[in-house]
Amino acid sequence: MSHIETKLPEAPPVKLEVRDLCRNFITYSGETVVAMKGLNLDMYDGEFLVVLGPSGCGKSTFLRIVAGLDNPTSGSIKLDGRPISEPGPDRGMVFQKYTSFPWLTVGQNVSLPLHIQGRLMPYLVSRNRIFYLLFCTFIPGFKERQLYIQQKVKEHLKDVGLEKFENVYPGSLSGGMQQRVAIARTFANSPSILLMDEPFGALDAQTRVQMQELLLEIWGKNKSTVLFITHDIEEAIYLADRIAIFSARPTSVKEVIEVPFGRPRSQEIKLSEEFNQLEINIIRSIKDEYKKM
Amino acid sequence: MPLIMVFITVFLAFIIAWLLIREYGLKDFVVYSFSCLFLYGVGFLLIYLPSVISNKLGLIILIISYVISTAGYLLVYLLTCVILFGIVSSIPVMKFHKSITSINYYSLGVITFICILILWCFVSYVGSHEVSEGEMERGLINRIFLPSPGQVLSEARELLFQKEFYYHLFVSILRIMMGFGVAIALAIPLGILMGSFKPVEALFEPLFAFIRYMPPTAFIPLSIIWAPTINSVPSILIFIGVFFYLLVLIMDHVANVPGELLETSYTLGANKLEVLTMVIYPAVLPGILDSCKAMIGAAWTYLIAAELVGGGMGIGYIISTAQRYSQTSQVFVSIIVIGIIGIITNAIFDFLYRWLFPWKRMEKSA
Ligand SMILES: Nc1ncnc2c1ncn2[C@@H]1O[C@H](COP(=O)(O)OP(=O)(O)O)[C@@H](O)[C@H]1O
Ligand SMILES: [Mg+2]
Repeated sequence: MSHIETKLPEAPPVKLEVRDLCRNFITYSGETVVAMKGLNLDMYDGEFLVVLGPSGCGKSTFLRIVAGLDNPTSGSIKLDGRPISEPGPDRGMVFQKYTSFPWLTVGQNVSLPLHIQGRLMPYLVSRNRIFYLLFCTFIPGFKERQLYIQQKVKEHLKDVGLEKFENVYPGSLSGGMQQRVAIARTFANSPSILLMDEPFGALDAQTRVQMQELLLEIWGKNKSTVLFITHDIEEAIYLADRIAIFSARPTSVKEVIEVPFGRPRSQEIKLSEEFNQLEINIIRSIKDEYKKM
Repeated sequence: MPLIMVFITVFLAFIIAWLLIREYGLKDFVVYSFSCLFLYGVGFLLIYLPSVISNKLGLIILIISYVISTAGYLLVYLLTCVILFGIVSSIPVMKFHKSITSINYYSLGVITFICILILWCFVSYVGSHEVSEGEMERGLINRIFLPSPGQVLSEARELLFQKEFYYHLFVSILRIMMGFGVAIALAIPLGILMGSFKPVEALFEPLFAFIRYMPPTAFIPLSIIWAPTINSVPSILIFIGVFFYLLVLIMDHVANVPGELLETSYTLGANKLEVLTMVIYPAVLPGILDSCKAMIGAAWTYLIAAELVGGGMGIGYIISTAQRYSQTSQVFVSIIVIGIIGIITNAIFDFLYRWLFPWKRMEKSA
């Protein structure tokens, strides 16, 4: 038997391990809503996993639990072998709502996580000219750190094509640009895993396609792991290595589909027979779940 | 259209001039106008005096400035035309929430004042009423109830050239700054903490709600008993009147910070202190400034209320003495001065808002 095992391709290391996850909500009227029951999922290092499912089934709840923003009723989640209990910089999150800090310029938004990594409240200092100069002269390593941050910010803005907007306030940017800021900011934090909750859901179709291409590009460059939620099936197939379809409430993983397209992908795969067949299968699968609701 | 407006403006200017001449006679009117012109010149003189002393060029500047000041007089008339033109041009383009140019905005504001002034002139100078048996006086309303614009003007000329008046004004402003400053300094940290953490809210909110429903003016007698000196009563009252309301407003602003922003900052690795200082504080700062702008009006109310009761200093004291001697026009002047200070304060707050929060402007245009 042993020789067969050695012939099998080695499974990539597990990045995120979800076991028997349950989440009950207690509504104001006192009823218990079982949103999630017995959810199991494995994510591999460097993987792009997309979660699809009927709306209201608990996709966001799942992502929030992974992010540490919500706690499961029972079950375990491990990231890189360590259990998750609270939010942390190792799990970057991009929401559907625009979350740029409106009082900071685009550049400052992206630099914020880098400043937080540095602690010592240097961020507040870096916004005041006099303090900045004082710290530069008297605190060893401060200036180097600031220059490093500035350079990093430039790099990440360049990745998302916003280098010209470094000193612009996010309030004047379009929705697509705001999400680019959010993506750049999250990558600047170099998280172990990137969590995205319908990040392009509020964008128009054209911008969405652009953003998908951009995301794949950055993902390839940073070799990160992405857990991506969407309700757009075409988007799911175009982006994913694997697609996890969630069942109706109480939700669990109904099936996991391997997407057979290689990388890098062009938009043309959307026209292929294989793509359409996959899309039809997924639509059927989700429709079944809607019937159960 | 603009031509009609110019005519109307000149017409209105004539009405006001005519009413003033009727009251004071042509001679006084001319003298008054020239004294205004003279003041204009003195102002320029003061500004350019240093350069007059240092070189000859200064003298030329001085002469030019005198000419300019005369031209300024003409300019006021022209400006009135522009203002009225602004009003007329802005009315047909009214649309929901559509912003208008600032010249139109201020024109519309000024017209309200002008209308009130005209109305005031009319009831003061047109018609006549009986003061006592057989004794008639011009105007529809007794001067004790409503002094004429002319009376208020001459009272203003008298009052505003007294050093004492500015002393009282200064005292009042100082009291506002003290009471209001302490209220803000305490309300911001406490309000942010109460808005952010339910336990802190639970600790203070019931007590503060209890105090909030007591009218602050009811504390005047108490604070007179408790205060170390009678001078500190107005500041204490301002503090009581402003602090508890400001707290609620700030708590509300904190509650309105989008949850996504807080959650995002958590996932970026910020700890509680960093979320408070880097996210909540900058997010609520514009709201706090807005609330302060609204509350400073209340601060004036409590200031005057306390000063009317006693203390022997401040604008409120001037008002109460004037009232005692039935000098209604002096009351008017004091109130108008407070109003002008209010407008200036408003402008300062608006300026601060634009200066401190350039990102808010971007947001509005987006
Ligand atoms: N705080 C909450 N209290 C009660 N029920 C909730 C709460 N949050 C989510 N739910 C319920 O859990 C289910 C899953 O919600 P969500 O994760 O937002 O769905 P999805 O993102 O898949 O559309 C919904 O049916 C919703 O009613
Ligand atoms: Mg959702």
